[in-house]
Amino acid sequence: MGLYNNISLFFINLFTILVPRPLFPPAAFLWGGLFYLLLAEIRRSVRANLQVVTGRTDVEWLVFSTFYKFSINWCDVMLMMRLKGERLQALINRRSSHRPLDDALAAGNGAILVSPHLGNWELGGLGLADLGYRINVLTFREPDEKVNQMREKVRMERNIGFIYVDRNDTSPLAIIEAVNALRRNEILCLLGERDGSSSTVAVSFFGRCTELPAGAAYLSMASGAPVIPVFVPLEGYRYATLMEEPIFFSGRHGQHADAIKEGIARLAGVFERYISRYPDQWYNFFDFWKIRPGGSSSEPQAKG
Amino acid sequence: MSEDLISKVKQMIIESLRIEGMSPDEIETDAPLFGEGLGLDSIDALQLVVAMEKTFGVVVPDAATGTKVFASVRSMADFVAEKNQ
Repeated sequence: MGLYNNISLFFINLFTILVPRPLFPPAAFLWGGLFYLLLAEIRRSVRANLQVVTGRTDVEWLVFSTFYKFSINWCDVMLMMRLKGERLQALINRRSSHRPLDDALAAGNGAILVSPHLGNWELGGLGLADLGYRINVLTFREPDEKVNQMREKVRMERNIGFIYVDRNDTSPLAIIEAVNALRRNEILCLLGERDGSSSTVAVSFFGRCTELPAGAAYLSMASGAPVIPVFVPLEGYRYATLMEEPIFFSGRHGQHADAIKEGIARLAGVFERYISRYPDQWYNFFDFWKIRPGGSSSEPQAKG
Repeated sequence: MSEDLISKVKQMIIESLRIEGMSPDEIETDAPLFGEGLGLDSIDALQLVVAMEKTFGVVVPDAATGTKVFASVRSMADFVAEKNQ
C-alpha cells in the first residue's frame, strides 16, 4: 500500500506521539475501514490472496481485518522507533526460545533470520538488537529517499547494520557484504516470500507454483549459517516473537539447485503454517499469485 | 607472482567448492572463473569469498572488489599477495 512515503510516516508518527497506545485500535478501525472502503483494487487483491490462503471464498471479514491490523501495525512501527529497553520489550507478550539462534551463533557461522511479510517483522529485529544481538538488515532501497534516511537513522542508533541489495543486480557478488557479516558471526534479517529479487526458485506455496527468493539459501550455502524462520504476529494487544527450527543448506559444486529447491520448499511450508494461523496479518497488498483477470500485480517490493 | 601461491589458490578452489575429478593443473590460471571458464555459479562465488578468508585471511569487502578479484585465478592470487604484503 502507498503508505511507505515520507509524508504518510510523518503523520503516523505525529499520531503516535499525540495519542496513547490504548487508543490505537479504535483509530486503526476507522483508518483501516476507510482504506478498506476507498482502495477497491487493493481490497480485491487482498481478497484473492486470502481466498488462496484459507481455501474459502467468503473472506470479507479477514479482508477488513487485514486493513485494520495493518493500520495498528504502522502505528506500532512508528511508536517503537522511539522505544528502547523495557518499554520496547513490553510490546512483546510471548517469546519462543532463542535456542535456534544461540546455537547457530555458538557454531560461529552467523544466522539468517527470515520472515514473511507477516505481523510486525520490524519489531523482531529491534527486539533482538535491544537484547544485544548484532543484527544486519538485508533490504531493498525504498523509492522515497527520506524513508531510507529515517530507517538508517533508527537502525544506526541501535547498532543495527543495513545492507542494501540492488534488485536488478544479477551478479553473484551483489550480496558479498552479507556473506562478510555472517563470517563475523552476525545475524542477517530478511524478508523471504516476495519475488522482488533477481534470484528465485519455484516451489509449491499454498498449492500454487510460486517463485520465492533464493537469496537466503545462497547465503546459507556459502557461509554455513542456518536459515531460521521467524514470525512476529500481533496476539491481542501485544506481539509474539516466534522462532522455528533452523534449515541448513548444503551441496557441492553442480548440485546447488536441488539443495536450494528442497530447503526453500521447507521454508515455504513453515511460512504456510504461520500465514494460515494469522491470515489477516499477511501484508501483501497486491495480487500475490497474479490470479485475478486484469488484476494488480504490481508492488513486489520487499520492505525490510 | 609466485607459482606456489597460484597453485594454492587452485587447490583452495577445488577443495572449497568440492569439485570432483579435477586437479589444480587442469584449472587455467588466466581463464575466467565464471561463465565459459570454470563454469562456476552464484553460490560458488560466495563460497570463494568465505574460502578466501578462511584459507588466506583476506576479506573481499564488496561487490566491486569481488568482481575484479574473482575474474581469474591470477587475479585472486594477486589480491592475496597484495593483502598479505
